[in-house]
Amino acid sequence: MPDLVVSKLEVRAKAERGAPILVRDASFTLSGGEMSILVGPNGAGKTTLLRAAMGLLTPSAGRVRLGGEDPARMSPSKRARKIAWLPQIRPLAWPNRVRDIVSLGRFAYGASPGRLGEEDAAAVDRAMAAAGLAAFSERSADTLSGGEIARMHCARALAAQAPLLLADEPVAALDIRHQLQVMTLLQRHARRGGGVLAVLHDIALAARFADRLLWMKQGSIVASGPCEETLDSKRIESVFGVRAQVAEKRVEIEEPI
Amino acid sequence: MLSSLSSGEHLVVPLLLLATVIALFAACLLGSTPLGVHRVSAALLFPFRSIGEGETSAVLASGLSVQAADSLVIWQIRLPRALAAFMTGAALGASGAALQGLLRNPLAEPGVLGVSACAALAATFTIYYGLASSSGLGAYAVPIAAIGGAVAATALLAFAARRTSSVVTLILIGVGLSAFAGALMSLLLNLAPNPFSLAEMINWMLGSVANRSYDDIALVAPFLIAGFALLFTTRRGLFALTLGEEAAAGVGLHLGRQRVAVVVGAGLAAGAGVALAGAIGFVGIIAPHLIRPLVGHDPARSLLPSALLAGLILVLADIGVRLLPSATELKLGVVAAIIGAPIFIWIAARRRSDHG
Repeated sequence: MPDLVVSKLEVRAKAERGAPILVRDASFTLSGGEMSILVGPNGAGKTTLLRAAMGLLTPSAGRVRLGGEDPARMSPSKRARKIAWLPQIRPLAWPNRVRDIVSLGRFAYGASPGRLGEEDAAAVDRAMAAAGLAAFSERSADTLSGGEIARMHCARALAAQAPLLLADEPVAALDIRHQLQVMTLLQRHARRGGGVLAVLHDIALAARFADRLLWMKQGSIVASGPCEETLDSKRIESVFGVRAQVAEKRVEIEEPI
Repeated sequence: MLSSLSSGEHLVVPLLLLATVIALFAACLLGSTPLGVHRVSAALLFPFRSIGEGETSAVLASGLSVQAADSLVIWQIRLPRALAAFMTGAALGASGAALQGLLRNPLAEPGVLGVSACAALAATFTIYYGLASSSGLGAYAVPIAAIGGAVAATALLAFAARRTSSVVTLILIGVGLSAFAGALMSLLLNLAPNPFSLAEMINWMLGSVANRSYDDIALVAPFLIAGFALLFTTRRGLFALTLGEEAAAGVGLHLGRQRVAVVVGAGLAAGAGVALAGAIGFVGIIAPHLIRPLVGHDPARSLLPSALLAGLILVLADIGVRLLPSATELKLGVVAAIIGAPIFIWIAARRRSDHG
């Protein structure tokens, strides 16, 4: 199981010195069997941190190691076999078939959607079934609802069978039921030994699913730990600028400060 | 309807191949002097070179007799012309399909990225300076210049593609390139030294496959094949790009390499196409557009069928050009644009309504 180790990471908006710092001094480790959730207000640097951890951005300081290697220097397909990436959902360029999109999860194994090997087809079928998409196989993706599209992208990420998974707002714009469906899907991956790091905006949802919460504010990780240790009304107030009532894992947001 | 999507898919390529063979045969059949099926078949089976010197006809074992003149018309005029139309179309269709996959935009094609314009400009330039002649090495000046122009344009695009991750930027560079080449071309037309070179330049800009020989085809074939080969290596990546660049990189696509390979491959193929027939627009947009629904909208699976269909369209359009009774023969590029431009507008308008 390759761990993702991020240490003292700093990312600037541009490569030059003096450019605005988007992420500063960020350190965390993601291991298998754990569901970590990254929370923080808009502009806190959550997406930037995830992208830098994937090796898609070059940090100005600090380092990232994925199973001991720098993901930015790994071949993209080798990286993809170790860590799956679920960026914020963007519309597909073409109205492709659902199964073909999920098959892209097997890209790093050399599979093409038109011709899947036995192992690839099995992984795709498993991921489709887990996401409840078995009946949608031949459907065109532009006929799916928002919730079905989110599940399709999850299935695509899960089909890669990568030990680690980074997800950027996997439940954005979904209704509550579909939020729970997608989060359950990711949690199941973690329970089976996968390591998941997801960005969420809903603190209550995060508290419900997280084994560990990472709190981010103005580019820094200001707290990190299980809900019992890091989730309280004071922290919500300082990170998000809202008053909240916290009772164990229940969170009730009251009003902006 | 949904199951028919996949069940008919494997028939697309064989059917297109069959249609292409029929169209090429029809192109030999039809023309200003129509030849009958038996005369064309006999001539095709019996190339004129093998008819003995001084003879005007030969008799095949099957009893068909072959006129030397028929054989000459078919083998030296109609067939190379039809093949040139097919190859030009195939080059444009494949580059169009690949560029559309790369840029995630159904309106992309060599024309949009300025590749055709630069190729045509370079060709026009050689004509202007009288470097082109009808005999000797001068005959190769125009094709070589066209390929050079296309490769220069793609090299510029490839360089830009390495520096920026934005596809919009790439398209805008292409638009700028296209406009600049167009302006220089107008300048050359304004300054054309005599009516003869003016006519020749216009000939080139409008696009035509009249009077193409096997030599013309052989000259561009290596570039065309290299371009095709490069494009075919990018097929899987083209499909991954439907997810967007970031997610495509996430599933294991090497973005930079993919961009360079597609741009150079499309440039080589399109440059060879322009070298063969001049600037012919829109076929690179229409063929992939028709093919996509048949192959699950997968740019990878649409590459080969788009090439075949675009080739087929140009062979048919060229038959039309030859059959239309007009004092001077219409230009293939003009016919292609008259059919293609309204379809282009229709695609563009529909896309707008789909994407809000």
